Order: sequence, then C-alpha cells, then structure tokens
Amino acid sequence: MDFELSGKLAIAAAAAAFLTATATSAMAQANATPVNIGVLTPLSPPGDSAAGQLIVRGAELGAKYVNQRLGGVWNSTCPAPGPVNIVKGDDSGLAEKGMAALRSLVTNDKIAGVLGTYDSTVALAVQPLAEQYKLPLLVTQASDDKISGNHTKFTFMTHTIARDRSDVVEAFIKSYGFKRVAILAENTDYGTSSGPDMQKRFVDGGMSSQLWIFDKTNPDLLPTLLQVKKFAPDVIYNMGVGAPAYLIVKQSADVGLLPKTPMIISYDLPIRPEFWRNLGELGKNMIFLSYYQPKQVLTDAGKWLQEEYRKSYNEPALYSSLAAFGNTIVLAQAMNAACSTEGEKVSGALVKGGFTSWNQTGVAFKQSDGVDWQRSVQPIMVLQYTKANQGFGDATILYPPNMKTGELVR
Amino acid sequence: MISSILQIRCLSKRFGGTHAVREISADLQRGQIYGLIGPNGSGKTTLINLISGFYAPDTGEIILDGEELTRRKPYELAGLGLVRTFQMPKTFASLTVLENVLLPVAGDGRSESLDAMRDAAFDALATTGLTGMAQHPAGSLSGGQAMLLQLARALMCAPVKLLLLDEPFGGVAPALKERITHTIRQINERFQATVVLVSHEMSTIRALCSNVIVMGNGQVIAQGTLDEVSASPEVVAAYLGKPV
Amino acid sequence: MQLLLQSLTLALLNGAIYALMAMGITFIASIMRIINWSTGEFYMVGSFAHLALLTVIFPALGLTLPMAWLLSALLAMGLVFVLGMVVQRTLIAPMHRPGTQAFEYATIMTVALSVLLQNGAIMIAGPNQYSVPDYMRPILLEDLEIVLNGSRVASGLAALAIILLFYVLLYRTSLGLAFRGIAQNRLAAETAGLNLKTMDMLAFGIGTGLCAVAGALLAPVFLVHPLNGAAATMKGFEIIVIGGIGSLGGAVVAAFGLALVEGLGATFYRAELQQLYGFVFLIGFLVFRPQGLFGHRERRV
Repeated sequence: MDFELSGKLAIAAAAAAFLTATATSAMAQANATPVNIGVLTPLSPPGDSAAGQLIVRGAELGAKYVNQRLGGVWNSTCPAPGPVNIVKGDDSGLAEKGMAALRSLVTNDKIAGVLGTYDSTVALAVQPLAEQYKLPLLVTQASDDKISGNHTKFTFMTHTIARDRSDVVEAFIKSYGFKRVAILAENTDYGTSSGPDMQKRFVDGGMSSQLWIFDKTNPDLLPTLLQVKKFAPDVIYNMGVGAPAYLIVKQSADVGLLPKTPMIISYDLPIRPEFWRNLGELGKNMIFLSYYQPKQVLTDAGKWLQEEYRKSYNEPALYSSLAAFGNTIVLAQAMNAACSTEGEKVSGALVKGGFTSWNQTGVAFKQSDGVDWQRSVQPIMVLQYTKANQGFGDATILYPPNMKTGELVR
Repeated sequence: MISSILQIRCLSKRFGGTHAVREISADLQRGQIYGLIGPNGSGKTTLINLISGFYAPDTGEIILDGEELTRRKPYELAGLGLVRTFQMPKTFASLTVLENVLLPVAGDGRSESLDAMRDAAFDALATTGLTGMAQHPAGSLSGGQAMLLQLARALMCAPVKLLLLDEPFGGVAPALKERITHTIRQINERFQATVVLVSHEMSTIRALCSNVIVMGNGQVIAQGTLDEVSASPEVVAAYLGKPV
Repeated sequence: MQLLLQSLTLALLNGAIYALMAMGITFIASIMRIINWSTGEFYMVGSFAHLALLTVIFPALGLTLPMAWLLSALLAMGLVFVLGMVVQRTLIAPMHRPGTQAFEYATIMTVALSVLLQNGAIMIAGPNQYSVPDYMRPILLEDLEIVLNGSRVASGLAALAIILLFYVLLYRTSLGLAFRGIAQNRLAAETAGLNLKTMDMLAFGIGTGLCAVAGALLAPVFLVHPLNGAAATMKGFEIIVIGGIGSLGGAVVAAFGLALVEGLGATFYRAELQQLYGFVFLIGFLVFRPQGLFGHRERRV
C-alpha cells in the first residue's frame, strides 16, 4: 500500500516536472525519496473529525500544488528537488494521543515538518516535542494565545489567536451600539478562557454583560437559556463549538430569544452545508465570524486550490482546507529557500522570508513581542446571512469597515 | 394395558471423582406412581436432574414416550409433558399465585390469550386448594403452599406424561401434606401421568406408590413393592442395617 | 413563577424521555442479567434511522403524511428492535451463559459494541450534526408567557404513550407475563417451559428499541450525530441506579425525579452544573439507600 502510494506520487511528480523543468531534473526527482510532511489533526472522536478531514484535504492538495507547480522541494541532496508527501497522524483532539502520533510521525515517517493542529490543547502539548525534535510546527487552526506566547523556536502560527477574535467581536459589538451582551461559552479551554475575557471587555467598555458557561456534553440548554432570557440581552454571543452551537440556536428559539435577539456565532459554523438543513428559518440573520468569504480575492495558489478542490470534492473549499493548503505550500517554500529539509535551516528560512499563501495577506513570521512571536496575522470578517438558505458567498460582510458590503439586519 | 413410558439405558454421571450415577437402566410404566428412595448421597436427586435435563449425562440415553431426551433443553421437556418440582420450591415471588400458574402457558406459543386460560388456571388452583390465594404474591406462601403452587403449574402443562417430585413433603405442615398427596393423585389420574416421587417419608410412599425403586451408591439396588424391597438384603445393607 | 412553570413542564417532558431510555436498560438488565453499555449507541442508531426515514426515504417514496414523524420514529424503533435481536443472537448470546465466566464477557461485548457502532456511524454518516424538521410549531401559552418547543411536547407525549404501551405489553399479555417470570427466576421459568434463548433475544430487541425511539423522538431537539448517545447512556445509568436496578417502576419515578432535580437546579441555581445535580442526587442515593428506590438489598441469583 505504502509502496504503491509513493510510487504513484513519484510518477505524478515526474510528469509534472516534465512540463516545468528539464529532463535531467525530472529523472532526479523521480528517483528522489519524497519529503514527508506530517498532518497532525483530529480524525476520530472526541476530536472534531469533520474539521480534521478538511485539513487533510487541504494539505494533500497543497502537496499536489508543490509537486506540480513548484517542482517539489529541495531534498537533502541539494540541488536535486524531490516531491513532498503528506503523512496523516490522528490526535483525536487529545493531548496525549497527539503526542504519541507526533512521535510516530517523526520516528517512523521521518517527517520534515508538521502542520494541522486544530485543538489548542494538542498544539500546546506537541509544542515541546517539536522543539526537542527540531521540527517546524505550523499551527493550522488552534487559537490559544499561549501557543505563540511561549516564544518557541520551531512553532509558527498562521491561525488567528483568541485575542484577535475577541478584538473583532468587541469592536463589532461596540460599533453597532449593542448594550447588553449575553455570552454562552462551553466548559472547555476555549470557553473558560475566552468567555470571561469577553465579558470583562464588554463590562470595561461600559456595556452590561453576563456569562454562562455550560457543560458541553449536556444537550439540554433550556434552563441556561431561561436565565439568559431573564437577563434580556440585545445581542447573544454564541461560543458553542459543533453540536452545542446548533443547540443554542434551536433552544434560544424555544424560549423566545430568537428571532428577535441578534446572535453571533464565534466561528464559521454557518458555512457548513448542514447549517440550513438543521436550522432552516432560524439561521436567517445569523451573524458569524469567518476567515474567508468566497467573494474575496485569492492568490493564484488560492485560485488553483479552489479549482482542484471543486474537481475532487464537488464543493468549494472552506477555511480549514485553505489554511492547511497554505501551511503546506509555505513550508515547501521555506524548504526551497533554505535548500534543505533540516528543521534548523527551515525554521530560519520561515523567520526570514515572506511567503505566498492562499489569501492576499501573505505570510511572514516576525519574532515580535508577546503573542505576536512567529505569528502571521490574518484578517477576520464578521458576516451576516440575510435570508434563509442563503449561500455563503451572498452573506453580507459587516466588519471590518473597509470590506463592508451591507448593513446589519435585525 | 400397561405400557412403558420412560426408558433409561446405561445412564452415568460423574462429578470429578464421584460417580453419582452408575450405569442405571430402568423402565417405567405409564400411569404408575414410583417411589424413589435411598440413603442420602445415593444419587436420587442427580437422577432426577438428569431426567429433567438439568445435567447432561456422561453416557446413556433417556427416552420418554418414544422421544430421546438427552439432547433436549429443559424448556423443551415441559412441552413434551415432563414436569418437575424442586425441593426448594421455585416460584416467582412477586408475581401473583394466579400469574405463577399461568406462566407455563405464556411461553408455549399457544394463541389463546391469558384470559382464555384463566378458567383452567382457577381449576388448577381449586385442585390444589389455593383459590383463596390467587391474587396474593407467591412470595407470601408457606413452603407447603409453594409446593402446591408448583403442582398447580404442572397441571397447566397438560398433558403431563411424567412428573418428577423431589422431596415434596419436606418441612410441610400435616394438613397440607394431605392436599399435596391429593393433587399428586389428581395429576396421576387425570393424565394417566407417571409420577416419580423422591421422599424419605415411608408412610406417604406406602400410601401413594405402587412401586418403589431403591438407589444405593449410584445404582438401582432393588425394585418392587415397598414390602418386597424392605426385605432385600442389599437395601438393608445400604441403610446400614436400619429397618426401612 | 413563569420560570418555575416552564422548568416544571420541561422536567415533565424530559422525564418521559429519560424514562424510556432507563426502561430500555433496566428491562434488558432484569431479563438477561447483563448491563447493556451500548445503550447510548442504540439511541444514536435510532436517531439516524429516523433521520434517514424522515428526510430521505419518505420524500423519495413521495410519502406525505400528517404525523409522519411518529410513523418514522416507530419504524426506527422497529428497525433497531430487529438490529438488537440480530446483535444479541450473533454477538451476545454465544457468551451469555449465566453462571459461567463467559457471562461477564457478554457485558464487555456490549462495551465493544458501543465503540463499533459509534465508529461505524462516523464512517457512514460523517461526524457532522444533523437535525429533522420540528414536529410541531412552538406552543405559546400567552397568559403564562411560556413558549414550549413543539417537538419537545410532541416527543414527550409520544414517549409517555410508548411507556404506557410497554406497560400494557408487560402486564396484560402472555409475553409480558413470561418476561416478568424470567425477570424473577430464570431457572424456574425455563422449567416452566419458557425458551430463554428466544426470550433473551426479544428482550434485547425491545430494550434497545426503547432507547432507539427515544433517540428518534429527540432528533429535532438534541440533533443527530454519532456522539449524541453519550448523554443518554449516562442519564440512563444514573436513573436505573437511583430507581433500583431491575425495577421498571423505579426507573420511571427516578427518571422524572432526575429531570426535576436537574431542571430546577439549572434554572434557579447554576446552569453549568446541570449534570452535577444528577450525580449529587445519585450519590445521595448510594449513601442513604444503596439499593435504589425500589431495588432489593441484594441481587437475586
């Protein structure tokens, strides 16, 4: 199986190289051992395996892009370029499983870099391992401030951190003049750190705000929502992730909070295809954060990805895939710049250079103070659906002001 | 005409080093009441458990009215007309007495509803003198009444071909002993059922049984009327010289 | 006042569903003497079967019925009843020999089964969450300012009806009598002519069917996804321990009790501790009445 896979990849890479490079380098590449890049992501419960799957898809297409368009990466036998190959590791969203999976990726698969982490607990747990193995770690979708705040040499953040998101939500709520904010957060790392932080920001900003932390495993949120109703908020910040996010929407309607109270979902859940099927009319006027909007202008690489993704999966690529794709091609660019797959040299190149990714912002990892250490800041948008069953691309951009396409519908 | 109902051929059962039943062969006649006696540990209960399917024999076969029993499950035996009672009465304590009696009907796949079987159940309760207790939980019955309940249940398993009774009189009040004896006769007469009665009480054996089988050390050591077997030297030896 | 009324109504509706699940567990436990640890997964399978029937199969057949959800939920129960029987016969029965060590393995088998079903669901349906359309419009009690989710009301009432039917089955039919007899004394029941192999299979089918219909009914309220059974398993076991293992009446009373304690605690004290109230309730019982409400002090053999 393994043999067959790497054989196929080598053949594909060779074919691509024929189009772009000379016959000699193509021969060299066909003979070269592929450079393994690890994707460490949740592929089974209790992790969010839906997201993990999207991340794997993005990374695999990233490898395809690198092999077809960039002619592979520089192998240790520089200057002969070799193809890159994606190796999956399942962290199940759990720190200990993530650590075991990363050890196996390093010792068995000899990976030259790893990306894909989705849960902050996993990212924080494997961070010291990456240092120990001198392995570049690109954090694809974990958002804890500590990840970059730890100032480790081999960790690179491309995802927005919790603080960016909080900044955006705070600015959005202020600019639209909301006065009473109800916050519903899960009893997870994310909820228990970001929830109180948000409340403090609102209260400091002169608004009144209450926070409810609920049990993620409990599907019955009505008692909580009855308390929320008593508070009579003029906006609800729904920090549920996965099933609880839906349950908050449905059960808010049950107690009569929806549709009259605007609700913000803290991530891009509403872009998933099942959103409308699950919520129908209730999803109308939903406000949510997103790192991507289909109408936004992409780089050539980003356009290539959208095209290939649609061919392979018959649907548009979402942020998770875009982010993993971006990480993969950034890593490959750094290897090319370093003319090496050695961790020390690749990390050096990552810190030094600016790289092309999927969006226009580009990627650079400056060693700045605090949480901005080796972190490439990406834009966050606040979107709103304005009618039921609306396409993601037709959602109004409410924030940031320079991207705004319409007014808030209440 | 007397015909054979149960044939036992070369039946053996070991428990570890103990040879509880050794190559017993016997032939029981339809409609007879047999007394099965013998000293403690002579293999009486093991034999009952073998015939009723609770133990699988090491060797030998058991044939009831032409049907080979050894490979059958205990629940199938009830359908074939083989019913047994236990020394420690096995009743369903929190079901009512009436429900206890109806239970065998519940499992046999008969299409009649429970209501239709109620008359038969009350009939069985009348025979055993438990009518007054019909709606009481079976757990409230005395030991003797519980034994009667097992017999009432046997009446519902009709037609009974072979009834195996393991110490039905143990610890039973004298008034109820009469009733138990009466019921055993009823079952015997109504269905032409063969009865095998394990007991230590010679007076009831004498009153009920036309035939007595004596076991000693896992074997049948004598068979005949009570008077005949009492005279047998083996029997006397088995009971260590005590007069039977 | 309004809050109290609303949380009491909710507790009543939740209680009915809890009771359904707990009865499924306790019924299997009392007949087969094993604890079915895959209860939540049969709940999940029921919810998926309901989803498939209601949103894919019925529309494909052009079926538009009033109360199609009820038909679909009952069909889902029927499907899981059959699945439960197949699973019992093929996976559990070979180990289920009371009095042998293999008997303990039958329980372990249900644990393995839960992993199998959960991962199977992820493979087939993916990890996403799904829902079905609401069964009824929200019920607005204007005078009391109470809004009730129509699906909750409908599923709560359907659950009560199914509980009632289950009681009729147990106390008014010969099959029910046979089950009650087996629950009391397996050996005596077998001597009385009951085929335990068949009855065990039926019991497992019925028990898992009860859990499945709970999952199906709750599909629009608590969503359909491969992990939605986890809460069901936990609640179910809390209830049967509080009610006394093997006691159906205890399960029903404990189910409503637990729903009440949770609902009131979460509404009037702290909502994030909702799951904890149940455990405190449970631990209270374990300390002061370890046999549960209606249980017996010792396990019958």
